[in-house]
Amino acid sequence: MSDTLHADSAHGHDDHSHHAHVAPGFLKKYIFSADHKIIGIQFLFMGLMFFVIGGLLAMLVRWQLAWPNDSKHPVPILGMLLWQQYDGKAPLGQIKSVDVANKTVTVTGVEYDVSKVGDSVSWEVPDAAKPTESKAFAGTVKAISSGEAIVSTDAFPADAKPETWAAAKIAVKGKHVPGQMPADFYTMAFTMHATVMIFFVIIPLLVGTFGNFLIPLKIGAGDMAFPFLNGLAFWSAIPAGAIMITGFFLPGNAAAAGWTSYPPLSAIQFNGGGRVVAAHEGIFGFMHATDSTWPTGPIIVGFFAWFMLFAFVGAYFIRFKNTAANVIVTIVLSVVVAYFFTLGTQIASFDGQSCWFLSLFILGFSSIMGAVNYLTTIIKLRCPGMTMFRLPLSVWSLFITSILVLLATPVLASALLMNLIEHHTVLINGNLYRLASFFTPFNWTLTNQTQGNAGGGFPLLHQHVFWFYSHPAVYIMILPAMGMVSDIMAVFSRKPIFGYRPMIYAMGGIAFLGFIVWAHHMFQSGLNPTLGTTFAISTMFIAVPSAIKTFNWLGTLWGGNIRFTTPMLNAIAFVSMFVIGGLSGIFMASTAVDVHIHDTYFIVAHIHYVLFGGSTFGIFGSIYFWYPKMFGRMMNETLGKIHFWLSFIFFNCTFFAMHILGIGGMPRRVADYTGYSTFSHFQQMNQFISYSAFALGLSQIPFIINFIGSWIWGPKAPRNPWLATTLEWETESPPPHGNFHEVPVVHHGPYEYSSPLVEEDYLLQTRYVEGADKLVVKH
Amino acid sequence: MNNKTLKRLGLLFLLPLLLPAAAHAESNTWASWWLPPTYSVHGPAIDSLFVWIFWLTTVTFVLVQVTLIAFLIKYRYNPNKKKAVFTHGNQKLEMYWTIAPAIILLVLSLFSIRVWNNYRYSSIAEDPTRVKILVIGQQFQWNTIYPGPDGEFGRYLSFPKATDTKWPDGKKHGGIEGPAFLPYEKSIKLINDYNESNPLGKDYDDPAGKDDIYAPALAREIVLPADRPIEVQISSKDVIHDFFLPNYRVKLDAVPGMRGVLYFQGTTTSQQMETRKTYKLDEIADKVETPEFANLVIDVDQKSPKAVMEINKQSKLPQWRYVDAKKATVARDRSPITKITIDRLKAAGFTEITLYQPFVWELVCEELCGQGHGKMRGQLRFVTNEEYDSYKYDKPLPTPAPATPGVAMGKMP
Repeated sequence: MSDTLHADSAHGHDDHSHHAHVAPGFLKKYIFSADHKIIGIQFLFMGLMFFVIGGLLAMLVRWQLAWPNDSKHPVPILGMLLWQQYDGKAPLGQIKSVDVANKTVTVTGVEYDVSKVGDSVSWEVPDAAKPTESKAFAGTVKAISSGEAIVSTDAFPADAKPETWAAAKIAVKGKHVPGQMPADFYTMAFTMHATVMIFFVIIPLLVGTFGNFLIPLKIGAGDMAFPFLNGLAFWSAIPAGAIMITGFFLPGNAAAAGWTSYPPLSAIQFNGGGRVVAAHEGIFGFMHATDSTWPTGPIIVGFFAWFMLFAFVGAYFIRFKNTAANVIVTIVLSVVVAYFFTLGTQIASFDGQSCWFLSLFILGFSSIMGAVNYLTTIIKLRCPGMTMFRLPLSVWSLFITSILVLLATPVLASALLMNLIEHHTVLINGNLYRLASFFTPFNWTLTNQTQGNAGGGFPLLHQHVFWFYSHPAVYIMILPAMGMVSDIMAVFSRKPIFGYRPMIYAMGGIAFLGFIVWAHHMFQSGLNPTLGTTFAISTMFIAVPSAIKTFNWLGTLWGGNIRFTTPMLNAIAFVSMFVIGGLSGIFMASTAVDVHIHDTYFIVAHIHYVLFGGSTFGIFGSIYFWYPKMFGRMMNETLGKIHFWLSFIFFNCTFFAMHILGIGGMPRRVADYTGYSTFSHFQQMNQFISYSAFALGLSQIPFIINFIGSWIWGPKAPRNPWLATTLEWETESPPPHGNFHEVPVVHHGPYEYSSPLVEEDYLLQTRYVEGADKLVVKH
Repeated sequence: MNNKTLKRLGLLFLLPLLLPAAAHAESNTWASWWLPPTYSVHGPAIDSLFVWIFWLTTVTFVLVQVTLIAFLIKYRYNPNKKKAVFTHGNQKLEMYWTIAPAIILLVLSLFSIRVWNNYRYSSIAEDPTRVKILVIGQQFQWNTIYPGPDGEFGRYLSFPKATDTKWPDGKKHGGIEGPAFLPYEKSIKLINDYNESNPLGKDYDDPAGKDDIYAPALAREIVLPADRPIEVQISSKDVIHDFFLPNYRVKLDAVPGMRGVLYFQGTTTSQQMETRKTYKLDEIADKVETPEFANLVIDVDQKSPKAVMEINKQSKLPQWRYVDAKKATVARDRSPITKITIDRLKAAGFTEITLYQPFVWELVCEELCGQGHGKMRGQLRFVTNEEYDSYKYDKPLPTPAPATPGVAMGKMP
């Protein structure tokens, strides 16, 4: 058995202490690691990198909304790179005659309003000496009338012949000016912002990073139950990310149907552009990659991502006696398999939308593998004495989250696969067929294109299946944050969690109700109104467990000795912001009020209060809290507090104002609202929001400095810098391979702060004190 | 709880409306932070439910945040305090704060259901006087169809597919029975031609559709009567759109393959929102090119005694106009005022003209439908019932049946 594939027997822990001293090689330690701590950190880096991409996309979205239709505010950098315009117009016309004496040429075929006197123009004529090459000239428009223009030039060759110059096209050489964002780019920007933030930032950071890092440490296990599967989960997330990013480089740009990807919009190939190119000849046409739309760069990146996945598999399964043979066989096999996978990926995802479907389909595998692992680990690998009701709330939250992931993600996978199949057309006997019509109905058509749409599907089916995953996904994205915030609040209030069991039951309640509320996203979608009522009631009641949690957090603070460290500030912000996000949800839960606010900025405000104000502050708090354990260094408190306060203030400025836009009815996902008299007066408000959003973006700079700087210059972290009670603080920072030198034994619950039985104000879970497990004080 | 008690409770809802309404009174660009004004009959119920939830959540929000901040200040770190209060919770408290929100939310749900059912299961569905329109969304415009004098719509949205052996209308197109008999490229071209000539896939054989009125112009107004209940049927030709009237608390997705139905009733005509002013032609002759007159249009006042006025029957949509002695058009209703118009009016014997700025309510697409989503704006114009009937968009209002003497006599003791 490999040194990392150990924890599969009841006696795994005993074997484990021997293996802990067998250090794996560099590659297996840091790259193809099966160690849960390294994989957690890998997920952390992946999440933070995507956080930058998602954040920059948000800045673009805000720029457009602050100055829609305003050529005085072109987009910085991108406006110059992508949407550059000439302030003149080209072409001017063709050269008719050349006047060598006056150094002028006469241009014919000049259209009205193309140019004016004084414009710079340029043209190219074949070089007299080398006929294969051409020579460029520049000049100025001297006179212009309808049809003809006189252009003068200083650099006039003496041997210029009218015959060779004739018919040379002459173009107005205007000044380059940066341009406005096109509407289709805006649509893509908010689609990809949401997709990246939800699937590649919050879920990998909360579930991937902290699930991996914390679960074995907090339950006293040496590693995950299936360390190899754990590594596979990370390495399959990499091709998913590569394919998602590839969308930006494909013709028609990345996905632009919103992060919900409602068909028939998402079923249109090259959304917005409406061209069909990915038609493969015959059913087995996909075997020929000749019609690939992928540029070289993404092909290389995609190949590398697949290669790493298969090299990871090879690293653990190819084991000849000779190391060199292992390496060579692994590389050769991985190259071959990755080649075919890259080929298949190009065919399966030929435009942004199909990249979106395929990428999330692959990412789903990663989630499911992670969830299986977390559940098995928590059920099977708890150390002696660690009963289920002695688990910290963070582990409980990840346990419940994993159940959600395991039950919901396959449903999303089915929706994505159906969409992916529907997105493809195939050319058989010269006829173009859509591969399937799960979601496109009989009686629909697209202006000026047919796309072989057979119809027979049902658009609402996608919404049902999609939200059956994506509503629980909202809880996947908030429950772990709730659990970790509970941990942080207990530590810095120096108090046991108020109502430990009600907290667990509330999370269970949220998870259960989370499965029966999905259609509240569809109240105005044409759903049966009575069905809407049913979902409205279940949605209303999901506020009850949320309220229980909030009141228990307040109860935890009550009577505490609260230390305002950076993690604690973030945790308090989580509670405060989650209350706003939760309360604004009640508006939407009411079917009648939802009539007005559905699909407005009220929804945008709500989701950002939950996912930024909630999850992201939870993530920040957790990073500040467990950074010493992850990297063995303390983070800088001053920079941390600067980061927190700036983020907190500008977050509220940005998103609270969006409630007001939503109440006014301003629709979301609209590039230019100024055409509506009902909403045009919101431009000032939108500019305020945009300025706040830019400030919020800049506020993350102290965090980046702190994160990287502390790794290098931060003071060495002790074992237990926060004087906390749970198991991860008993081992070194960072913990050794195998986590614990001896199997820990747990004697009581996770939150014994300020216990009257000991001198200190914390009682480690492993420290045995007579009667501590029976001392449950209720006020 | 009987109906009367419910009504009284409903009145209670209106109380919190007063404050935002006062704030709304002085509306400028920064002050309109509240719901846009409502002009529908069911709208105020939704608004008061909104306000009710608004105050409920605001009070909860303030209570929770104040408690949070108070705790943070009161229990902040004190180096002299050796230990915090050691407690694992309180079962009674847990009970209270579970049951209290549950009860509040249950009551809220009940009120919400009532408002929702009044809106979606409206009694308008059985009202014989209701006006019907069919709205078909398309990238990126709204199409409105009026049922015409018979009050019924024909069949729409049947489009040919490349694999069909028959055209949807059963006739031959391009000399062939159906697109499937042609090579692919040719059939696509023929299908596009068919769809261009019949953009809404109308079945011309359906007798109910013979008198339907549909004008394919972009951004055309939807005209509706203000004093009759309205049934809106909503569908889409291509992707999902959303029919949203911000001033009417009306919203429903336009889903291809589905026919959604909404009921509502307006309260105000566009004319009531407009200010009409009569100008002397001689006085404004020099000023009509200035920005002051840029948005003003001519009101062909049907009651004006001097006017020579008739309905313009040439266009598909009836439009009132002034004509001169030779029956030539002098000015059309709602046409902009220009110098040429003034000269013509003078020649026809007019001395003054009524001008106004037309008022429309906006129709917004709220469901992402592609890159032109933000440009998918529609207009809604409410007119009086007489005016609507004169357009012949719909069957006219049935005259109420006269009370039969027999019934009256039967009631006598």
